Amino acid sequence: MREAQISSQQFALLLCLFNSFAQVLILPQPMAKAAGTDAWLAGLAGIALGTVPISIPLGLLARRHPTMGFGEVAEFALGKWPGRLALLLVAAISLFLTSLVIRNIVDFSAIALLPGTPSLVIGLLFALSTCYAAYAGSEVITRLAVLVIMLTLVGMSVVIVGTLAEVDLTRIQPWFVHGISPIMRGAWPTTGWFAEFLVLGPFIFQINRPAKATKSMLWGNFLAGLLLTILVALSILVFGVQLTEKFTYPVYALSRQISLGQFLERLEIIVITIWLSGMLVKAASTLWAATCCLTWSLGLPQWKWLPLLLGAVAFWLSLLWHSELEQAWFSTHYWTPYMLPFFFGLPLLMLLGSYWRMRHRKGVSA
Amino acid sequence: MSRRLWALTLVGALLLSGCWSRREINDLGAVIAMGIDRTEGGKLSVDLAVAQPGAAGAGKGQAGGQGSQRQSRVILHREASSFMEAVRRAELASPRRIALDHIQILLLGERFAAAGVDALLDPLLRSPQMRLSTRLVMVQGVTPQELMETNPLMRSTQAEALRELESTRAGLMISLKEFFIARSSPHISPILSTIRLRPHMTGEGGGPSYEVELSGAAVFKGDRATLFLDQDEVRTAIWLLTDAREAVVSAPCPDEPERKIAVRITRAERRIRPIWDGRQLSFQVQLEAHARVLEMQCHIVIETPDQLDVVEDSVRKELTTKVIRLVHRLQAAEADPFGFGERVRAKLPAVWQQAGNERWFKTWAKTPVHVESIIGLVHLNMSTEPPSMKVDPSKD
Repeated sequence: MREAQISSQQFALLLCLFNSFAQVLILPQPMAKAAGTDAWLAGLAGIALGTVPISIPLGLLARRHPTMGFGEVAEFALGKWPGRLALLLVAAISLFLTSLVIRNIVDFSAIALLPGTPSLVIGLLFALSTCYAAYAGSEVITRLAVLVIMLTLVGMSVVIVGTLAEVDLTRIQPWFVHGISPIMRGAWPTTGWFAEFLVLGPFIFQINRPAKATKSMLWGNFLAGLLLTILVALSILVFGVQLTEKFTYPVYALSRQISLGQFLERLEIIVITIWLSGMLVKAASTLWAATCCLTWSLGLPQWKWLPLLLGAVAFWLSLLWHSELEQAWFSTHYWTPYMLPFFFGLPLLMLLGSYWRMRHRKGVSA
Repeated sequence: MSRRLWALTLVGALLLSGCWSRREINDLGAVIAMGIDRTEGGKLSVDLAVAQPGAAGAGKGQAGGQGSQRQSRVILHREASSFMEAVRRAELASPRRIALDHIQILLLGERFAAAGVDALLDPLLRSPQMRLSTRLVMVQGVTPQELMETNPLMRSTQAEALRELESTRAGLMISLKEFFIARSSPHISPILSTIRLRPHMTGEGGGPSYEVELSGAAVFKGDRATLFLDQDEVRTAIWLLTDAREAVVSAPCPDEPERKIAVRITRAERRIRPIWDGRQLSFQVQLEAHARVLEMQCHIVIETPDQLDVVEDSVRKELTTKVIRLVHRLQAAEADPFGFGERVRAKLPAVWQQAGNERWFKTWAKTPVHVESIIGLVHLNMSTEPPSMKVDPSKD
């Protein structure tokens, strides 16, 4: 049964945040390296490739089962044990994603924000905040997402206006010189990152008007792609491709370039604060999804301490990476090929299962 | 009750907040300028000009309120085989923690620029403390250490004096970002302003003061400074590189070449267009500007549009000649600091595949550049003719 209710607009904004905040920090550098001046187009290509094949089947499922939750639909469409196994996998992936987000925060803060603070402390505080937000539930998380997106709009405007004087249009030209292949090379690592929104399945089945779920997903993902595209394009326009691909965090470097009238500078801390809030929402949404999927999968009762337990596991997982490079390498080279079949396959299988079950049920009742 | 307790605990937690490993401002040594050079033995020589906040506030050489003489900056000098090692050695002797976040200007020594600047670029790009808006200049005639130790004119530190020079738009001021962009591109030659010291004997505060003068520019091939432009060439280079607003152009009078007209540019635009006619690559440079007359030694009365055209034509010809001369000099040196190649890469990708990439500097050396300038004298300022002009009463 559906419990909390969220609106399709709220979900679109949560999705926009989910599919853009970690991406804008990590992906511009590999995208610029792979696609050169076409890197900004790679963002849009990646989002189209990574999200449409998931949005459509999930949207159809939400429409076909307007009263069911994600776990119930999985069990209905795939059968009891395969459904529970699929939910367990989604829970594991969600938990792993939570740990990646925590690790991203720790690595970034150690370099750019709080170099003197032990990583363990940053990670622990962030993990605790994540647990609390996940404990508060999906409605609170989506409301928080709406607030962060509003702040993001302000932050984006400041970044765009503050760096406009440094823009040089020749730096982003020419386009399509080497055809579509560099764009696809740039889009490839992003595809798996965008497709991971599958773990927001429990949220999708809480949308109060299920008929709008597909549209909401497409809009949310489009906005996320647009955000990434604008920031990648701006990085290239300000720094050029060669310098963009040398930065670890090109968008952070961009935020440090903000200068309004040569008197309002060093505003990057505002951008970082908004980004950290967004990462908190992302981590909370994956942790909450992991909690839901694990509860359904193992048939556990509603237990209020479960987010804390899973948060502790995610925190421990985040410590396992030997280095920042190792994690970034895994995320950009292995995440997409290993996870994409699952991300694309599960919603499709669920949809086919749902059709088959419904037809079978009709046949029986006839 | 439980909720109230929670709320109280959370509010109480706010009072406990603070920064991990916090450092008070008094414990920090904010570096405002940094000089880098090579020693004769090939080691890196690093000079850190650390601000003395109390002294800077009180004026040059004065300590606030104590009545004692106190330098407004302290120069820490260290030599080492790498940049960070030298900084670390400076930290070991500093009673304040060295903070590189506030560096306003980086001074490169002549020997360092000639031997290659790459040894510095990597730690600067890597460091989260460095800001890409920091200005970079090359010091001529003296070492960065010698320059930083001098008393500036009208300012408390030479770094401050240089930043103020930038605001006048009189010269070329290149930021770390611009230098990094050029250095990371295989077809843009990095360029830097050069500065030199000139003694100024007014001697503020007892000792001699020194003017820091923007003396020209150094153009790099790879990471080495190989070509030097003089002040006049830099004033022309600004037209092709940045914003020529506020520039002053001097041109000979139409019929009296020994006399001069000086105009100040109030609005400037440049268009550099690569043209490929199927066989030959060329560039069309178009410079358009509005200007106001600052000085006129010519015996001309500007009363009609035709008379204005004559003066405009003279300024236009002068600017065109200077730009062509500068471009030829750069082509002879196979250096392209203005991004002509970048425009071919962006606009003519097919041509770039044949003539660009690693071959660009060779191609550039023999590419024709056509320059056209349009100058509009939109203001004559407060008079239409020099006071020495005699009015012919018979005209009335």
